[in-house]
Amino acid sequence: MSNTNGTIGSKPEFVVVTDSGADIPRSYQDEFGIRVVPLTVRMGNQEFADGVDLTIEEFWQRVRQGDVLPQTSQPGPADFERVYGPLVEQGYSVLSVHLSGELSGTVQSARLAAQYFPPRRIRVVDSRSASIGIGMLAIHAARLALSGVPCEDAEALIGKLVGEVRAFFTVESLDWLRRNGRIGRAKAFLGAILNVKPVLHLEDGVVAPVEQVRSREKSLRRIVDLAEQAASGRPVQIGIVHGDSPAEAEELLEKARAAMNVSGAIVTPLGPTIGSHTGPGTIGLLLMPAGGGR
Amino acid sequence: MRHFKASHFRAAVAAGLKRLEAEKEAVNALNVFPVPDGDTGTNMYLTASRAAEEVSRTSGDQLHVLAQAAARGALIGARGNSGVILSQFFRGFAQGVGKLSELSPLQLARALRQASETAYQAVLRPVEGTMLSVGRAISQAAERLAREANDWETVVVGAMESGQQALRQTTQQLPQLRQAGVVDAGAQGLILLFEGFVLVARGQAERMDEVTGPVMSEEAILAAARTATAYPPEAGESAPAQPPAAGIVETEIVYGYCTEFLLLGPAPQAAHLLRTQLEHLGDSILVVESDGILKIHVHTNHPGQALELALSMGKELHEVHINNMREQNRQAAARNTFSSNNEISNRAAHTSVGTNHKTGAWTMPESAPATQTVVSSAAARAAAAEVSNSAAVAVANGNGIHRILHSLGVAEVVSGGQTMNPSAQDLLEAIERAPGREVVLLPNNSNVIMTARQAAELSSKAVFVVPTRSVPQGIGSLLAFRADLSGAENEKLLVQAAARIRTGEVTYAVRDAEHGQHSIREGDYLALRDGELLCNGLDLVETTVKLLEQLVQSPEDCITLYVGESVDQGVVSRVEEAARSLVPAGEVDVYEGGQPLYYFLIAVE
Repeated sequence: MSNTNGTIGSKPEFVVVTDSGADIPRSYQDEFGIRVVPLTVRMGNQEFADGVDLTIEEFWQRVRQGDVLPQTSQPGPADFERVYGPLVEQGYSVLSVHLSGELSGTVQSARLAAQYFPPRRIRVVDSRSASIGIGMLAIHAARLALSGVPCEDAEALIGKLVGEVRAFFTVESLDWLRRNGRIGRAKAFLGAILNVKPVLHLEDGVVAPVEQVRSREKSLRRIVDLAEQAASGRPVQIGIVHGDSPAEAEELLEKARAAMNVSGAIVTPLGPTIGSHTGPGTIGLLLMPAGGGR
Repeated sequence: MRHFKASHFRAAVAAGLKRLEAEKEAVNALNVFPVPDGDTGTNMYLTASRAAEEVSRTSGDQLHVLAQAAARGALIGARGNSGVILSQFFRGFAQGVGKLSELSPLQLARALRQASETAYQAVLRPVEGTMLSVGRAISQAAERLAREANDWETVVVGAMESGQQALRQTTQQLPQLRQAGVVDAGAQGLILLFEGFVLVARGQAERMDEVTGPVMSEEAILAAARTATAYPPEAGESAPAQPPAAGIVETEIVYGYCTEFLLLGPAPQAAHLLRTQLEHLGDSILVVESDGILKIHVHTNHPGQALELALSMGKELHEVHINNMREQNRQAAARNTFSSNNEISNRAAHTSVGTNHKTGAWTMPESAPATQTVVSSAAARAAAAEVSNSAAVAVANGNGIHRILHSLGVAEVVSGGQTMNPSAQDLLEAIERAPGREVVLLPNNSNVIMTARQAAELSSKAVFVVPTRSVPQGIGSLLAFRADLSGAENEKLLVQAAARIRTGEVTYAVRDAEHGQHSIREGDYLALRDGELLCNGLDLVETTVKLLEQLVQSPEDCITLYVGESVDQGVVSRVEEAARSLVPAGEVDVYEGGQPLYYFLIAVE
């Protein structure tokens, strides 16, 4: 591993850019200097830039009130250009980490925008993940930047980590994923007459089924079991995301800590971008090797 | 020396079938358990009738051709555990006959021994005091007698005496039988069938219709059965001690290639001709005709000859599949060891589908998955969602249950289970109808498990039997079913999921019975826990709630109630209320199952 001992405090060579699908809490964005390009959320006739003129709290409040199905649209290349431009002018390279290309065209917009800049100044990574799965990758990338790792090496390291991020989750109703066309292979679980809870995961960037269980409680336990198997004893960084059910998220965190060697945890509500597709009552446990597996 | 000939066999099978038909209700009454379930007598009769049907369809005077026809009919007609074991007697007998067109007394005795041995091999843990021990007693006596006898008649008539003795002994060999004071139902069924041989030996077969009641001396035994107080479930089969996962044990593969194909434009009589002529090439022969197309299945060492033979009787061959079964066997043996490799290759397959997407999707709103520019990506996703590596087939009764099973992704539901056990052929046809080459099969009844294994063995598809013993257990295991995974992976997942389910069933007693500690009156409500009688009573709600109390282990448990046809809504409400109070921190769901005879089927996990 070369060049990991850059001088702390010196100016990092690159800046990390991501999108609002990464669900990175504001405090982390500030601490690590991560730039977030918002997706657009449409509710009825109104449009919002996620995290800019629509907060997470407002979003969930509106979802609870109305029966309107929120929809999202990806940022265009121009939106990325506006973020990349000033950074490049200031002499930075950019590592741009985004929503799974299987779930959104966001990463394509980023790639198109990158073509307007000199070669290798903007490096775009498809996270093959969503929500805090991207978030953990982006935060790790920012740590690498702060420790002086060049952008090229960071891209390679993050590229390797992409395959190691796992995401297990359950939703209150598969309808949200279905109506927005993100149901993926979990389509097999549609149409169940029984009152069952789907346990899902992201596989190659696509929503995929694990199994169906009889209760919410069992689905949470199953999610922890699956994460524990995936961790197989190694220390892990975890993220817990929820569709506006903080108490359950705390409960899940407790269970996860009991089951695994958790070196760090981020608990955060799902923002409008992901929440629009999964609906309320979604809860997920995402993990990756602690310290990027080094 | 008088030999046993084709004409004797033909007459004996027909006569034995008549005996079974006449006495099947009496044999049903021997079921140790008084529940309205699939019955041994009916199952053995229906199995034997398929054997007889094949024999009567087959012309000629070569014994081996007829014996193989009988074996073929019994194999696919097998219903219930008793039917499966009976079919193995026929199969063994045909193997014992080999290529002989008639048998000397000694050869006949050896064929009977082969029949007995094959039947023993069919059961993982053979139980004495069942039709297995009766079959062995007959064959041992036959071998002893054949050394001195000059005619086959003496052998058969003498062997029957030993069979009768063994039948009477079954009462002492199994505790449930002793308590009820009856003989084993399957053993009785075998004796009835063998009576056909005795009748022919005595020259009485033609006058059978004049003969009233049993010819042999077990009249008293059957009379005892008719008035007998009762018994455990279709378990009455050889089953009280039937192992949980009884299965066919194939000791050695005689014919190495499973050969399967369609014959278009078959000549008249082609089906019949193929059935008989393929016998010379192998076994497990199945020729099914539908819409002017023949579907042909044979295990043979000469697949090429089978294809040529068929081609000479029709226009075209289609969908030719030839599998090396010895190789499959070796792989199956290695499957457990390498299951993780399967998983990897499976994931790789998904990747290749999932990553096939184009660029340039950015102008479109994301929420419109079918817009043109994202089509290829969406199509790739859709294709990924369709990836289907295995199909599920399940056995169950009741419209509501059928709907639930279909909603869980079951491709084919075979009606049956309680009241009517499906035949191996019923299952086989459902397996063949199901999409894909790998099938997960859920018998959902302890008395259908062996039939399921038999159907699995007959099918050219890779069939994985998950030995579910009840519908609630089957539904519970199907929650883990994933069409995108292989049959072997599903088998593992479903077996694990099934193990988490505790099953309750509420039905009624079809007659008075003494069973264990329980004194049962006809019409009593019966509560069964995991197939065992837990309690009986006069009040449906009370009996069901008692059962629930025993099934629930934690206030966090989940209870699912499947309500049978025509159960009073008031009863359902009271049971549901009681269920909720038992699991304050869990869940209770009630579904319309629509199943006959069983007021409630219950899953607790």
